[in-house]
Amino acid sequence: MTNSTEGPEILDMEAVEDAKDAMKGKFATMVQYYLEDTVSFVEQIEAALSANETDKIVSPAHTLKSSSAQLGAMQVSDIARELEAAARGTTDGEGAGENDIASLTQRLRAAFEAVEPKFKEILDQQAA
Amino acid sequence: MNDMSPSSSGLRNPVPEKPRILAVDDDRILLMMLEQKLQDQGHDVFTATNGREACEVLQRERDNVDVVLLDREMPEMNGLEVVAWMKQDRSLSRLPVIMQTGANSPEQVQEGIDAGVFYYLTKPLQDGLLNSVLSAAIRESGQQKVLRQEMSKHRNSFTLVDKCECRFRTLDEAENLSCFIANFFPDPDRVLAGLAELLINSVEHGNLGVTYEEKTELIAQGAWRDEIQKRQELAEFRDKRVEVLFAREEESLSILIQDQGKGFDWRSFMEIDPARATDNHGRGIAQANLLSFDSLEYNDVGNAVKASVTVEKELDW
Repeated sequence: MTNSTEGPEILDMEAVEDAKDAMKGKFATMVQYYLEDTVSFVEQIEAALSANETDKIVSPAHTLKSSSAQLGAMQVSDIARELEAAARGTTDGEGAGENDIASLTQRLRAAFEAVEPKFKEILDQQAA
Repeated sequence: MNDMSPSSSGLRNPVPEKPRILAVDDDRILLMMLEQKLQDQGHDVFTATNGREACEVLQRERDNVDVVLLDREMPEMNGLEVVAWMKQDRSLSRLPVIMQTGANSPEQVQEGIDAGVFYYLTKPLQDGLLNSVLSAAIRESGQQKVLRQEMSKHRNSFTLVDKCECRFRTLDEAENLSCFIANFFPDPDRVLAGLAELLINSVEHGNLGVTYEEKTELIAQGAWRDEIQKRQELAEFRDKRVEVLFAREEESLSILIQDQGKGFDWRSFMEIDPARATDNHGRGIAQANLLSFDSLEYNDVGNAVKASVTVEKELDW
């Protein structure tokens, strides 16, 4: 497997194990919620970008940052953090421009598509 | 009837047996995590995923919630807006609120303090801090409930009292006396929490010389009340009293509290310090100053304090 993206791991297994221990029987439900919500947040961010409403990126990016970190999706969390900062910068009239936000949004989708099958694998193992 | 021991007042254990927490977060992943952590600690948990839902739960369960744990940033109705809504409701306005804010946002903490929120947690949540802050909020909630119950027992024509001088020594006496004296004020509920804090302070930090750091440690070990009760029986402290003087004047009602301790640096406690907003205690004086009374004045060394409520002058027809 090649992994061209630098930076943090796609999925931090230690965080996954911590979440499993903490959540006991509810872990699978939580992962399902996470996958559903993340799809919707990424779509919201993409829609906001194409409508040129970067201020509407802040809230979904903010949530993605923390929920992803909680479940070990470190790349998604990292990009969401940058995206939130960039979107806030834009709304204040300074900082990152549209291009950065556009490329971060692309990277966000890629990172999510990389981590999604890993979560599904974990869910399958759990169910088995 | 010889069941008149101080413990019959029920004041010794003001912490509710199974505290009930309302947890509010728009991120359902974090909310699930939080719910699980709270349940693991033996709490009953209500959840809400936005401010509006939180208000609905509070409407419905008003007497069943002990503490509200609120996320600051939520779409639609944010944490501050929920607090503003609660402040307009008499029975919800004194419910302790813990606000979760971003890690690097002291301005959010300051904003919250101005709105009357005295407990803070930063995201991501650390278990140790969660326990410490939650225990402080639960203690406040429990104490308020017990004091309020106690007070409703002897509500009377206390507004006829012009002057009253009392002397007391122990923690139980401090709590009982605060219920009694609060009734002299036109809005006893408002005064009660702050007054109890001041009287308890004069025993623990005043006469018994417990320091801020010692209290932090004692609370963390769950040994605070035992230690206070032990100290108040030691020869060194046994004869120390706190004097309380209530006076009704033309434009104000005031209470003067004088202990026999060495005093303390009260200046840094008059307002909530954002740096201490996650400590497990240390909010009482600020609450007395900001919520319960219209003015609070210490003497220089800090072993006497005068707390006053201004009275509206009656119209002279």
